[in-house]
Amino acid sequence: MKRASLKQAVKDLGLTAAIMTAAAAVCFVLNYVTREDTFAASVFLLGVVFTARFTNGYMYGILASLIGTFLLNWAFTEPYYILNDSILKYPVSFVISSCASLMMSMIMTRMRRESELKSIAEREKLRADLLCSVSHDVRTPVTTIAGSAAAYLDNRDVLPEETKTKLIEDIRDEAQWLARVFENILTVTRVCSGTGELNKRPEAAEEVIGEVVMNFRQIHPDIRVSTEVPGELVMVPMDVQLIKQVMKNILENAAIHGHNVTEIKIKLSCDGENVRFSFEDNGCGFSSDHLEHIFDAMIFSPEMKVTDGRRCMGIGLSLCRSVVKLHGGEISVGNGETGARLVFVLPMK
Amino acid sequence: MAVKHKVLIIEDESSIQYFMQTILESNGYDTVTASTGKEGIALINSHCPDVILLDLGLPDMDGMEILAELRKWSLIPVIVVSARGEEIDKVAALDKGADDYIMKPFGTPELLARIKVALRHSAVGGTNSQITPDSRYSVGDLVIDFAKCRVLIEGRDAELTQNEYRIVSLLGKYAGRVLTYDYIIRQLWGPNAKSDNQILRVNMANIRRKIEKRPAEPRYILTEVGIGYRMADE
Repeated sequence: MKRASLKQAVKDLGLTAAIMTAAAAVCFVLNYVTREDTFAASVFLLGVVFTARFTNGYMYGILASLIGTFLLNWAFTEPYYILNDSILKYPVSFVISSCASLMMSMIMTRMRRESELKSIAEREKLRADLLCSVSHDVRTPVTTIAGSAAAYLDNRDVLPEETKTKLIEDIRDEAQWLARVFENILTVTRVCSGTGELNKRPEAAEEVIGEVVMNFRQIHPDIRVSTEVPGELVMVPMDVQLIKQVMKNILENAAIHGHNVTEIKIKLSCDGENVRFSFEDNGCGFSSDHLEHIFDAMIFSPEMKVTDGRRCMGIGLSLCRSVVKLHGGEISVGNGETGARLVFVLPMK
Repeated sequence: MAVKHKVLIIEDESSIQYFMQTILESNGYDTVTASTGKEGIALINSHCPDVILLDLGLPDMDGMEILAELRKWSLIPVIVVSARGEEIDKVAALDKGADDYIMKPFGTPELLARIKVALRHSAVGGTNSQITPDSRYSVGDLVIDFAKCRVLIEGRDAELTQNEYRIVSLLGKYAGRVLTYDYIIRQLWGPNAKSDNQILRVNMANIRRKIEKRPAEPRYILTEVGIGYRMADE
């Protein structure tokens, strides 16, 4: 941390010097052109305000104020190039320009603080949503697993075969669901921790898609996944583990919530600035009230009318949006030609 | 055929519905299931179950609404099953009229025990103070066993049908008090049942033939003509 603040300090100092030098230069030029120096005070004031705007903290603005007053006295007031300290207006001018600088610094500090608070609040919300969602998302599969196992074990002598098989299948399905929930939780924890900085590296988009699709086919062999990629290789800077999780969530959601989805089309395209990942299935699509709440991580609320017994998207889509946003990208959800469509875009830089 | 207690399961997760049904039926209960609130209400009205297991997190309506709706006309015991763990939710549910609250994930023995408790409480939920702690009421040679859903006359099983048992047990819970025709019909067939007494009279006639020595001079179930029926309390 100390290293960073030293670096910052050097940067701010340099900026102060540069701005004030520029102000002085402007004054010289104007002086040369118009042979007057009445504007000098204003120009320096402007320099002070700029300094306060672009540096951190209050110190540099005050420093600029000092420099400005000195330069004003020395270079732009008779007698030129001599420090004349008998005139009253210099302390006053110093105080006034310092006030201006302080005002500007305070505004800047507040703005910075607000944006920091906002991003902290967003991260906190994600964490809170996660915890809430964990409570429901984990309790339900655990209930099914425990209950189905108990039902089987307590009655294994009297139950018909098909009942026993269904109970065991339910255990298997719920365990798979739980595994996915935990993956999401771990991902979110990573995103939430520290400064939320991503481990971004350039990756070949088609390779990442390829791996995700291969894994997905193993779990859902009955769903046809087709991919369409552009002729040339597309490299995108991304945190590959997070983006893999995003794609996995999108595919799983299609498989589970799409009602008889048998085909998913993945299309990769690039327009020089952004890379577009589009996923379209042939299911029943989204209903309009579903779309309103689709990114809410709060998974069960009476407003959300999910028609089948399955629990909702859970934190899946909310997580997808957070991850994509962190990459500086955007995600959008709607209905395509054949079914539901989800598109996310990542910047190429 | 033995009469069984009927449990209505209102739960949207099909896998949970499935194993609950399996467990309950293996333990001697009849089950009916619903996946949505609306379906649940319809089934309560048509089946008049003995106990309701209500999941709060239903897709189409809040379990609380169902509870409120139900408590307008019935005291059927309701056990709320929920993944929501907040105390405030538990209190709200109990205030709204739930009889018990069970949290997911729950163990099977716990579920079965709570159902038994709810049934026992509903047996003594009437005004009959002579019902014993093991849920039996005796008057003369008649014994009503609320826990086992049986009625014994002079020591042997009266072999009542489902509806006949329900009528007798209802009268038994309020032994000594008159229950109107309407009240009995509503408790047995729901608030929307036709208030035509015919079906009730036919059932009562059959009951009398099974438990009374002389159907025209009843000892146990007395008629207050024009008003309703009363079970003897001595």
